[in-house]
Amino acid sequence: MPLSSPRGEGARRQAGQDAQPLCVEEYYRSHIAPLVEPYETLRLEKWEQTKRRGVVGCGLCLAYLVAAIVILQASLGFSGTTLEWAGFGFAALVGLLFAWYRRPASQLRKAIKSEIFPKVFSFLGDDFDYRPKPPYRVKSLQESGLIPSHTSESSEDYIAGSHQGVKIELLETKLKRKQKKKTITVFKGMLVRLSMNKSFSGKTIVTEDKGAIGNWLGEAASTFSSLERVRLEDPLFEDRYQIYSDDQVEARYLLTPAFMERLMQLSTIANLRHAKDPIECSFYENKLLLKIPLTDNRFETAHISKPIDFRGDMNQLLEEMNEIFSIIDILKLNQRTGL
Amino acid sequence: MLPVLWDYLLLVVLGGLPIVLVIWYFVLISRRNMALEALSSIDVQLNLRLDLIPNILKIARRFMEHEKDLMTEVTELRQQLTSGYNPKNAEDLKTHLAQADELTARMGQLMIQVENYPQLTSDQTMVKAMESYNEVEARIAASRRFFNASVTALNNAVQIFPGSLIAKLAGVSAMPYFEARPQAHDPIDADDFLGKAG
Repeated sequence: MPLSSPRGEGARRQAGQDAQPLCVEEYYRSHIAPLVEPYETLRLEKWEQTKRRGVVGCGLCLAYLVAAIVILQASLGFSGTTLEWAGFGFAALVGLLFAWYRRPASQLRKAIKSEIFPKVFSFLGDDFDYRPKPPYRVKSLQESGLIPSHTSESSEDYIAGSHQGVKIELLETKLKRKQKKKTITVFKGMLVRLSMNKSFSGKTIVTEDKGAIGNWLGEAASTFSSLERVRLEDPLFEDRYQIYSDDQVEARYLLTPAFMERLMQLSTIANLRHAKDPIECSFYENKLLLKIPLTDNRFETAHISKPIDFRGDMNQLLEEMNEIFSIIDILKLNQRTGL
Repeated sequence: MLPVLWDYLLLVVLGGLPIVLVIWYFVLISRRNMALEALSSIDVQLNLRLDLIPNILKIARRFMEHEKDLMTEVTELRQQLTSGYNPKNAEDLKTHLAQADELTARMGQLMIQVENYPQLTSDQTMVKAMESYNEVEARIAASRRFFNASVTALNNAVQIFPGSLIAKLAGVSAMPYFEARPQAHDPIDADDFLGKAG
């Protein structure tokens, strides 16, 4: 959907069939622009606080360093243990000060996300709902077979709505797993749940082909070990993906040659190309769950130092949603052609 | 020393050969069963379609006076398909699949003709019946792909030596593919559909 395009289905429904749909500029002027001034005042106040905290923080760090050198030189001496303690104290101080320094910016971001973003998403339709924190945890999607085992989750930006009759539900998430002494990121990106144009009762998973050993290890460790491997006719698709299902016929009913082609096409969406891992998906509970790895953070506000007018934020958010709509368009989920 | 080594080698070959043959036999039987399972999934969908056809014909008969021949053909093909067949007999199976494909083609023609009758396309019962029919057709296509994949796996095991020998002993034979009708590969003459120009 281009930025000058009409407003979403919900808005059109509300406006009535004959009414002219709203354009971005009109919507911005009537719904967002009146909120710019109070938020700009708030931003200036928070930006001043940030700058002050930056100066105070740097001063405190410097003072700590000077004090540490003086004390160590005068009484304790520069032995291994005392230096370690001094270093540990410095690291703790820097961590605390950094959190304190970032607090005004995060307060501003929180306010914008909870008050402005829902209004921006309403432009796409009355059925659109934005929440800074998702109402459920990623673990609840474990049944899909796509969620890697993880020990910590940080999720944000939950969006629900519809496009061309296809229901959308998405969230951004970062999943980490503790391994012995280090913590590794096992997934960073978006999880998008879409309603399907076909009804089905089983589960079919399309995951990345990790080579013979990688696949075997993955099968052994994952929830889809109970599913059967499905071998499809498209050699390019087979090269890229492994398919598992509890119903061989249903897997082929969902993954038609045309649909396989479309799934491969998803990687051509401009901003989804940066991630090195392919998009994976799972058909379950009559829905399609897409696991989209991303390198960047989506649905974010502009930096606190930049003056607020929300025009850029709005365009950015709509561009990002446009990518989600492209997925629906490419996969043709709105068409009931059986392909 | 050397004779001992030969003895071991002979033992491995003689002991290993039956194991290979038994494994191959298991593979053959499991693949045949897989193909038969795929075939039964086709039959389930074909039966669903056979159940839908009388409803479609009943509604269509009210308006499509000029398509009587086509409807008679569909009815005859439907009757042929409802008679049983032996899925383990390659020839019987081939005929059964060819009849199913012929019925697909005739029903396809009928669906195209339906578009020429606005009374039919606006009839809600017909619209619903056609939707169900298309859904079943999509599932038949999926079952056909599963069947063909299973047949490829079975035929490879049957035709590659020593599978050909074991298959003969076990009474397992290659199965025919569920192929598209030869006419489906013919070029389409647009004049047939749009009326001859000039």
